[in-house]
Amino acid sequence: MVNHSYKLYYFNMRGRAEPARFLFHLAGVPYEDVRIEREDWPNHKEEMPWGQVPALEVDGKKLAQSAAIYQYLAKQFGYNGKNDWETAQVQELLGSIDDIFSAMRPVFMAQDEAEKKKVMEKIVADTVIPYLTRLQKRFEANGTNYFVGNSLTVADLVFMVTFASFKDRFAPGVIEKFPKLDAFVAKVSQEPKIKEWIEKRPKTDM
Amino acid sequence: MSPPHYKLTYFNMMGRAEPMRLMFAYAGVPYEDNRIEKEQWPALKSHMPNGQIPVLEVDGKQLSQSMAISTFLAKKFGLDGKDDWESAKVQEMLGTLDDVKLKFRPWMMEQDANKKAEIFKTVLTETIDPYLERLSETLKKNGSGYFVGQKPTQVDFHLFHIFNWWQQGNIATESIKKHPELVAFTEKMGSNPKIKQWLEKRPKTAM
Repeated sequence: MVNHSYKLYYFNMRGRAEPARFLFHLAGVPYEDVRIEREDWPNHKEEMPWGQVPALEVDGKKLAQSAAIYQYLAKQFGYNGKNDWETAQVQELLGSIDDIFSAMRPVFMAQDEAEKKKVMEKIVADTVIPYLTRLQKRFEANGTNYFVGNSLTVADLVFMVTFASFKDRFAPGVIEKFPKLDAFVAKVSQEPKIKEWIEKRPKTDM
Repeated sequence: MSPPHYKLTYFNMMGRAEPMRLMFAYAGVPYEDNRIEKEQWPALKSHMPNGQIPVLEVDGKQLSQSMAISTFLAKKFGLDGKDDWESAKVQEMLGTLDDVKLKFRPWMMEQDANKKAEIFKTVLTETIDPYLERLSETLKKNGSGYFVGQKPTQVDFHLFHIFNWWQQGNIATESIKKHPELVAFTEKMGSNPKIKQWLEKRPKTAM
């Protein structure tokens, strides 16, 4: 079995790198968790394919785009579904939560707190609530306490990370309206290796 | 074992479904090209499991999200790279293309002709030109005439669709002309007999 050398490049925050960090920890695979300070970013931007982070380096070759990174690592470590259809469902779910983030962009861009709140309320009502309603039904219908199949996939990790950030910061009170999803976050966070990483990771705002 | 029955549901336009239609044509795989009119959508929306289209139905099971659909089909048709790393590079390129498409949206939504033209100028200099530059570099560096690996992958179909659509709509023509390898790529893909046949017989829509 070949041991690969892995480096994950991102800012010093959880953000879009966190699902990848969870995957490494779950798999027990060592990697260099490179955290770039904002002031230092201009010096590194051109080193990254497409000038962005997160970026994953495997044996010296780099890969950009969080979805590409999650799915590659999930495939290597066995968290990408058990067959082509499950893998497709994982990708479907990752795409759907990304759409929600895109829809929420006006909130992140809003200038003052009052505007932010107004924009947020509208997006939550028009987009986020209908999405979570459907998602909760889907989760319940799957009947396994995971989103795809009967074991943990990277889709579960991304949902856990995202819902936790909604609760803590971006949309407090929203996930709580969905008891099954709220319970899912709590349950997955308690799985031993997940809990371990949550406890030992660097503490950052986002 | 009988081959799967595929049904692709989308609006009567190219949009997010066209790369998949191109792949079906290229692979010579039959499917039901289910096109719905905009007026039918509100009634249908609640019946779609995720309230969105495109949706791919495979032997009755439904899958939404164009990237998930595209990748599922690409794997079936041998268009997803030769190994996990190539597949990952394919995803990377699809992701960056999606980021670019997001930047188009303000231009596509703008109704006022003058404002539209202004927005387009910005999209061109800030997004399209740098992106075409990177694409051109990637294509040259890869050296096979395709964007990832030595053979066609789903990325080539997604990018061919965009270039073909721009050609049809006379969008960013001057920008593309600056990159002869992108022009050559578009011609090469378009002259493949199966793709050519699809281009000739497909319903003609603006987008």
